[in-house]
Amino acid sequence: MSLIDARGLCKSFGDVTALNGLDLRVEPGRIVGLIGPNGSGKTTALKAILGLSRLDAGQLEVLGMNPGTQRKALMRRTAYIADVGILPRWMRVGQLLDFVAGVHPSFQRNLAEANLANTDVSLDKKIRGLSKGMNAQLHLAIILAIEAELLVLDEPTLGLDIIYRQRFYDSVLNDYFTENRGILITTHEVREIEHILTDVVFIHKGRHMLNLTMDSLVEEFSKLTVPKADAQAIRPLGPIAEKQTLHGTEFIFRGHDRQTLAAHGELGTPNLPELFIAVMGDH
Amino acid sequence: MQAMAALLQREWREHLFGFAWGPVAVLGVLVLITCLGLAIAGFGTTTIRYSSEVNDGANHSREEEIFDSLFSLSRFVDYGNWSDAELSETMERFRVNVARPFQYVYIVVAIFVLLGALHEDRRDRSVLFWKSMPVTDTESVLSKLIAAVWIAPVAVIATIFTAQVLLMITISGLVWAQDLGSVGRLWWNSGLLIGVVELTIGYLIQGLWALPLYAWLLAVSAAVPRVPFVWALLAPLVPMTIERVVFGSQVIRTFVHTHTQFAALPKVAGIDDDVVVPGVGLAEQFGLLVTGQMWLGLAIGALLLWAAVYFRNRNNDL
Repeated sequence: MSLIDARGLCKSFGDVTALNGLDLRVEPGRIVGLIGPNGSGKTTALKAILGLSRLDAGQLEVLGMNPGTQRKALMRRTAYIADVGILPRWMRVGQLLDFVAGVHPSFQRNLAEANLANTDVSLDKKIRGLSKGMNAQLHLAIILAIEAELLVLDEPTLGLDIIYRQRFYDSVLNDYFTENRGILITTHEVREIEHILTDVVFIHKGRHMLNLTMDSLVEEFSKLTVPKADAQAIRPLGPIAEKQTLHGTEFIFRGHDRQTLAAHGELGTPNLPELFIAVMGDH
Repeated sequence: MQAMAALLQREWREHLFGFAWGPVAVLGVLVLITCLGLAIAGFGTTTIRYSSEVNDGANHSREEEIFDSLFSLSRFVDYGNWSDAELSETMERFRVNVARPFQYVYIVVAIFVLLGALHEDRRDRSVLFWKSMPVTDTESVLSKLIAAVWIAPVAVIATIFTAQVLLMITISGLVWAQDLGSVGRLWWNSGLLIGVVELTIGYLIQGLWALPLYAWLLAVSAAVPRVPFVWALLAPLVPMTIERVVFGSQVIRTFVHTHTQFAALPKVAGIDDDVVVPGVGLAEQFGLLVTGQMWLGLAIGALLLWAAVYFRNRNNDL
């Protein structure tokens, strides 16, 4: 069974269309990056998946449940981290653990305290007094102590410095992720999550523009770099994007035979930011 | 049940300042005033005379019965001559007067807590954290109602009782020092324990009686994007005005006025502006439960609570 099975999701706010037929699937053992520019519908999609927003049309099942009507049951098996500012600032860390232990049947307080023991976050500190990085550590320590099958991350490292960002993703990968669990993640820092993703979905104006596994990315997309003087000869081959660099002209191809392309210049595989710009550039 | 207990504990912790320290602050003020009063007037001397010359050249004197206006302490000078009925009536008045400032402070705290209950967490976005927990919106709204309306009064009742005991000790000192009569008889007729029972029953029933008010505050808190206080205050004026202009009646206004009274809290019978005001004791408190007005209020309160849950479900940010 898919952790998330979304088909044709539609949602409008007045005249603004946030989701326009979005399809999305997350299977166990997959880490899916939902990537798009500002206002592309990422957060609206995540809110619908978490039962925080009602859809106008489409079919959505999360862990086999309807998030709109079964949010309590869904949240027993789903964890969610938004950007770093959503923990209640008036609480002390220990009080927050008390609360989660009281309402969440699968929360293991001992495990959360063990997770926090490796950080600078002490139980008697007020959340208001924690730095952004400590805030993220606290939230992650709680999530890691919940037996959740699905983890939804919405810009989880926003405002964190590079060390905390790296630690955050290392923890998610090493301490949370298993073959029975899935992760759906949105972020602007595409480069940072590229190495942990198994799948990527590009979204624009509420529609998926690209949906592929990271393995198939290598097979399907190629980056060809040629001297500027040779660029004119390459354009008839039908690249989906081109960019001028100090070393020459870079072309991104989709579905072309790599051996054929290799004869024209230096062949490689585009990274996610390059692919994102290539696919979304025209839009 | 465990989840509801955790939600109630959360509410208590969040509003500890208003729920617990509010009544304690009132208690502190009462103790301070009592000490000042004793320092100025001493036991048994409750009247202070002021003399002053004003523009007409005459010497005017004025009497201030400081303790009388606060706790009726001067009455105890005649304590030895009272019958048991007179003593009971005086003690009842004493209990109600001591409780009054606590009740006023509590209602102000409760109004602001309920107005912010479903609004503040949308403003600071912590609503996203609360909603990431396996808790329904109905449980969330009910926990906020129960905490403000039925849990917070526990602290109010405890501090009222403490204040009454402290003042009883003061009165006992007065009676003993002036040799006015039996201190034991005073405590035997103090009614302190029945007072606690009346307050407890009173707050339980008052929560039901004023449910339309409390549920309205929660609904506004969940629904509006900003300034919930202004919305809560001004929005009812619209239907009231329309009703007054179109039908010439004041049904809504009367309903609002009725359900914002301390109808279930202990009160001594008396006369106010030539109108006889009946007392409120256990019989009157339980009597409220079988009135049509109570059930009409419960029905409207339930409707407004449903609205609070509805808006809580849909509004996740401002």
